[in-house]
Amino acid sequence: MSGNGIRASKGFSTFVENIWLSNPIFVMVLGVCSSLAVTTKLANALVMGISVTFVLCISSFIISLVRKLIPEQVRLIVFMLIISTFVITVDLVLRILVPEVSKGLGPYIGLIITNCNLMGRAEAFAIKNPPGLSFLDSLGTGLGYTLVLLVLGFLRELITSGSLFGIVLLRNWTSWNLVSIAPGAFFLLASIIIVFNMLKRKNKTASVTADKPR
Amino acid sequence: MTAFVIPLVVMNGIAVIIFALIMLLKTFVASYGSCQLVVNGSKTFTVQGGTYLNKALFENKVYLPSACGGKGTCGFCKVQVTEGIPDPLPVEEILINYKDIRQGFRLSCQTKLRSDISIEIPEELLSIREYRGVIRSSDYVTRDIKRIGIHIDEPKDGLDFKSGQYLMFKVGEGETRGYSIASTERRQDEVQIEVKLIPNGLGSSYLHSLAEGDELTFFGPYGQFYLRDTSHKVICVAGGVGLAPMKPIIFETLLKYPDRDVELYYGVRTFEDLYDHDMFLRLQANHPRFHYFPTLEKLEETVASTYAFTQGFVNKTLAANLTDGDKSEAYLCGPPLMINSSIKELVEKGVPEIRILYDKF
Amino acid sequence: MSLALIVLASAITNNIALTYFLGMCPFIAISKSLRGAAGMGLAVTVVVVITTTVNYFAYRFVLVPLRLEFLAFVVFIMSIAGIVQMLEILVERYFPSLYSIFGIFLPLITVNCVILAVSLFMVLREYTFWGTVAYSFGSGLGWMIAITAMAGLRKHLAFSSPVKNLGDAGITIVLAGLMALAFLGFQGMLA
Repeated sequence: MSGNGIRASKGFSTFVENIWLSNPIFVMVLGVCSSLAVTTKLANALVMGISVTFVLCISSFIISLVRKLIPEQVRLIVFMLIISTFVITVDLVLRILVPEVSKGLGPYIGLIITNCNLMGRAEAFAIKNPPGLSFLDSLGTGLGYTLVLLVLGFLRELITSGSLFGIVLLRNWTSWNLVSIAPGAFFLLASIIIVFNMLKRKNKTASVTADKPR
Repeated sequence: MTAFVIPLVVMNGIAVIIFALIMLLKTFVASYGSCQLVVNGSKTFTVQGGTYLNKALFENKVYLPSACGGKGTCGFCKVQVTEGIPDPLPVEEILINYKDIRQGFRLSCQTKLRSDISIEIPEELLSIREYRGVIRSSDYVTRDIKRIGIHIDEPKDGLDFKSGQYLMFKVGEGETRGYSIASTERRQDEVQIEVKLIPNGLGSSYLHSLAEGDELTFFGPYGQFYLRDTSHKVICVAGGVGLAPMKPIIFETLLKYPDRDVELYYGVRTFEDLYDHDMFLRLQANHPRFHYFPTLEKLEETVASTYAFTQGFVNKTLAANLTDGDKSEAYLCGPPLMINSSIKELVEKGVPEIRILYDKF
Repeated sequence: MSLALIVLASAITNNIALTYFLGMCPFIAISKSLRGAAGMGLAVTVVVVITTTVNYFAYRFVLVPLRLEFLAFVVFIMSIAGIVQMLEILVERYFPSLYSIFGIFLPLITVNCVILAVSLFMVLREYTFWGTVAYSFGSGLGWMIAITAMAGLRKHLAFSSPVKNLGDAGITIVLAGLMALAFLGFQGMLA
């Protein structure tokens, strides 16, 4: 019983840690490519986030299942084959379900294969840990990634056209085109990183002072 | 049916072609034949070309220190290449300074053997061996320091070390961490270390997790920090778990040199962090040549009445008690801050800088 | 004429790093030293031209006739992984001095998005053979220009103190934004 409790709490902490404390984009600056390229519209960002999370979870679950069978030397190629299989699946599904978004995402769905997060998680976590834990770890990373995508997509679509999910919210909005093109995306990401670090620093000092009386 | 088979055939076909090409290249292009590896101009090994220098040395039982497992991030496995110097890699330019690069210093874990090569390493590294042992005891001596006793199984003739040296323990795949030998008794088949638990520290959490009967692999002994064969008075300055290497030094001096005095200046934060206190008190009572000066940073009332502790930092105790600085030699082990302040004090007391040895952690 | 245009467009106005955000991870991680950046850029350029050309043949003459276009992702990534490994062996053996410049970056390149992205764009944009070669060369060159310039900028950054909360990666992103803005200026040139 107690063993179960410990495992559950370890899983939970890996999960939370990956969403916030070691958020893939803010802290590790991994997988920035797609996060900037697909966030001009909120819908694209949402679909991309879900796709990445799906591929991440299922591929690290499977890698973790077969981790003892993979020969050390060819492991990277095996990871890639497993990952690209699911990316193809996602690509085919998206083409049927949301053809518009699929077109908008263009090559970036295929580029999930080379998203550093996937290889990173497989190499750093899934290859050493049991399937359940790897799944949670990836879910955390994936959700953390989706969260950033959503924030970026929200801000960029709102500022560029005053709409969300294509529905106009702010009438007579002067569109700021800078945010929809590349330089604006970089600046926006940088400003979000500043805010994130400020929040994190504040949190840290708060928890330290809270600990002291003990 | 065919819709299912064709993709499989195509994919496997392409995979086989790529794989075959790689294998062809590996057998015909990447084979370098054998190379001569000369170490310190005396030992010559014939090794398979294309392997990394550290692996080749390891296979020939020359164990270089390493903390990163050959990733090229710690810089411990630095060697001087005297003949067949390869071009420096960007990684090496980060870890080795410009002057040393010019003199042929390279990281052995980044140097691939493609032709005959001669290298220079410190002579004592040649006597380093691989050991296998079983944990005999593992006990807390303070709330975060564990003393671990290890019985050496392999090799049979056991471990021979100089007092103050350290061992590199295998703490994960390709990862090693160094710990000082803390044995009080010199035995060939037994060794003790003391490990302070550092939160999220790879080495300390691994060693703390081991229990009696678990097996360990380690290499050694390493280090220039060992008791010198002179007639000077021995000053030991230790902070926290830095006490570990002092114990072999103190006991060897008392046993081997009938006319050398030993002084131990031992600084910890609170009374709870102090360990082996009773042992040193007994030693002081039995040996007129041994003097013990424990120093507590924070001194509680209840503790103060049991023993005449000095309050403050070790350098304060040094200033108050050290005499005959010019006839002494000093051994320091502890956190950098403590070492730096103590060295300053020692120099002021007249200890020649050349006779001050230290091990920062 | 149009080939030169493809090279210029892909290298400068539609720079693969600064307008398509590709290869950002190494762009941020490796642009710390000028030598490393140049080595990585060179490696990417060489690999991208070779892999894209090979993938062009694989796509045109194997996948399309067999109506297996959906396998493109797997085939591309397999050929990239294979070619990178072969290239590593060949360069190490025959060009050891070149190997010391960019050899250690070769294994990292397999997971560099630029390489795969150029192959995917090649399919989407339906380039001819020479168009493919020109486009892949231009893209590699553009990425190399961007990362080398960034390394140069970051060298000067050592003497200034940007906003603390931005961190090392953050300031690199800001710099990338400024560079992207500057590259936008070339757009009129090719219109």
